Amino acid sequence: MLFAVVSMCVVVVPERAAFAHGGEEGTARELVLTAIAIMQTQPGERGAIADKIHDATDSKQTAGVDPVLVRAADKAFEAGNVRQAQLLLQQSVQACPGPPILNISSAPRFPGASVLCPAARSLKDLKGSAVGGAEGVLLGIAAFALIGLGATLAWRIR
Amino acid sequence: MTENLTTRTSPVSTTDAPSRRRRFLDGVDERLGLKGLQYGVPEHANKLAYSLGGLSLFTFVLMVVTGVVLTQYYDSSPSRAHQSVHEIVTSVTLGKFVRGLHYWGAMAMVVLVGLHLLRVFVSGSFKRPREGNWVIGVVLAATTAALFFTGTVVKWDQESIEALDHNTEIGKLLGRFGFWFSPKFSGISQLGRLFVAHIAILPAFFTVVVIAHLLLVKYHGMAPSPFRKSSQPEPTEPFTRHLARLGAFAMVVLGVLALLAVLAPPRYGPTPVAGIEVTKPPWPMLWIYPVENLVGVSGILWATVAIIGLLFIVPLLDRGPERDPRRRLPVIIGGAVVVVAVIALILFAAFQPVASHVGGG
Repeated sequence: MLFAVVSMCVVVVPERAAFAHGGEEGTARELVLTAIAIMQTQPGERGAIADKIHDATDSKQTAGVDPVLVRAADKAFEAGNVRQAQLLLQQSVQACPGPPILNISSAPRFPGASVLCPAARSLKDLKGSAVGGAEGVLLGIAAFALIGLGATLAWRIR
Repeated sequence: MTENLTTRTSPVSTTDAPSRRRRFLDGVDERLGLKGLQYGVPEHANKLAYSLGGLSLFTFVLMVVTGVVLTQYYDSSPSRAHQSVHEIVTSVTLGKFVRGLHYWGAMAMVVLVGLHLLRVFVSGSFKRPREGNWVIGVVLAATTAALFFTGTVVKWDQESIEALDHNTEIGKLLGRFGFWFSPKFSGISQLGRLFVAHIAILPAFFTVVVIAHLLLVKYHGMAPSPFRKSSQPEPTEPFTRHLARLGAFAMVVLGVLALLAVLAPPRYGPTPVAGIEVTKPPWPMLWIYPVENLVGVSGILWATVAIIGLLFIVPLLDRGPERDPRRRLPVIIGGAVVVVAVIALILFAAFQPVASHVGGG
C-alpha cells in the first residue's frame, strides 16, 4: 500500500511539483511523500522540495510520520545533504529507501534490533537469488557429508 | 618369449615404481623440508581442546578466502556499498552462500579464539617460559575483535553506520591519537578506510603476528598437560598426525558453517541513515552496550582497555609454576567471574530497550 502511494506520487506529483510552493496543505505524511517524489524525479527543484519539507515540519496532522526525523531531514536538506535528507524522509514514513530492504528473521539476532522498514519473509523473496532451490539443497548435503567425513576421520586419527 | 618378457620385466617394474616414488618424495622433501614437520608433540595435543588455536587459524584462512571472493563484488563507496551487498546476495553466483560462510566464519572465529584463550588460561599454558607468547595471543585476540568490528561496518546497513558513529566518537575521546578515526583525516571516506583496514591492514598484521605465535609454540614446544601426574615423559606423536586430526576437525567446522550459511543466511539490513540510533551491536560486542548506557561512549573505550589490559597482565597475576587449575583456585575463580560478567552483560543487553547514546561522552 505504502509503495503504491509512493509510486503514485512519483508519477503524479512531478508535473505539479514546481508549482506547489507555499502553504501547508495536506497532512505531514502527504507532504513528506510528495517531497520524496520530487527528490526522486526532479532533484533540481530544490525550492519545491524545501517547501514541502518545511510544510511537513509545520503541519499539525502528523499521523503516520515521525516528526523528529522530518525535522532532521529538514536540517540535512538545508545543509546540502540531499541524500541523507531523502533517507530520513523515507524513514520518517517507514518507507524503504533505495533498494528493497529486508530483515531476515532467521539470522541469530537478539531481540531489540529495531525494524526500520517492512520485512520480507526471507531472502528467497529476492528475485534471482544466487543460491536457492536445488543449489541450497546440494550445498546442504555437501555440508552434511563434510561433517560426517570430518567426524569419522577425527575418530579414526586418535 | 612372452614368458621371458614377463619374468624379465615384472621384477623390474615392481621394484622401480616404489623407488621412483620414493625418489620423488625424497626430492620434494630435500627441497621443502617436509620431514621436518614430523617432530614429536605430546599425545594430549591431539585433544580437541588443544586444537582450538589451529581451528581459529583455519577460520581465519576461511575468512581470507571468502573475503577475497566478496571483495571482487563489494563497492566501498558509501553511496554504493549497501547496494553492492544486495547485488552480492542476489546476482553473484553463490554470493549469498559465500557471504553466509564469511558471516558465520567470523562468528566461529570469535568463539574459537575466545575458547582457545580460555583453554590456555585454565591449563596454565601461559606460564614461564611462554608469557611472551600469551601476550602475542592477546594481540591476536584484539586483532580478531578489530576485524570483527570493521566487518560490521563494511556491510553498511543501519547497524554499521551506528557502529561507525561510535567509532568516530571514540576517536574524539582519544584526542590527537584518534586522528585516524576522524572523518576529516583524509579525502577518503571512513568506510573506505575501514574497508582497507578490514581486507588489508588487519589481515596482514594478523598474519605476521600469528607466524610469530606459531614459531614460539614450535620453539617452546607444546605446554605440558596440567593433569599429568606421572614423572615419566609423556609419549609423543608426529606433528603431522596432529595436523591430520586438526584437518578432520576443520572439516567438521567447515561443514557446520556451510550448513548455517544455507539454513540461516545473514540478514541484509536496512539502508543506513546517519544520526539516528535504533539498533544494537552484534552479540560479540553486545556486552559493551549496557556499559555504554551507564557510563556513556567513553565506557566502550575504558571497558575494552580494561579487558585487554587485564588479559595482558595475566602472567603477572599468576606467576607460580603450578598449572593444575584445581590448585590455582583464586585465579581461576577470578577468570570465571570475568567470563560470567561478560555473559551476563550480553544477556542483559539483549533484553534492554534500544537507547540512543552516541555523543553521550
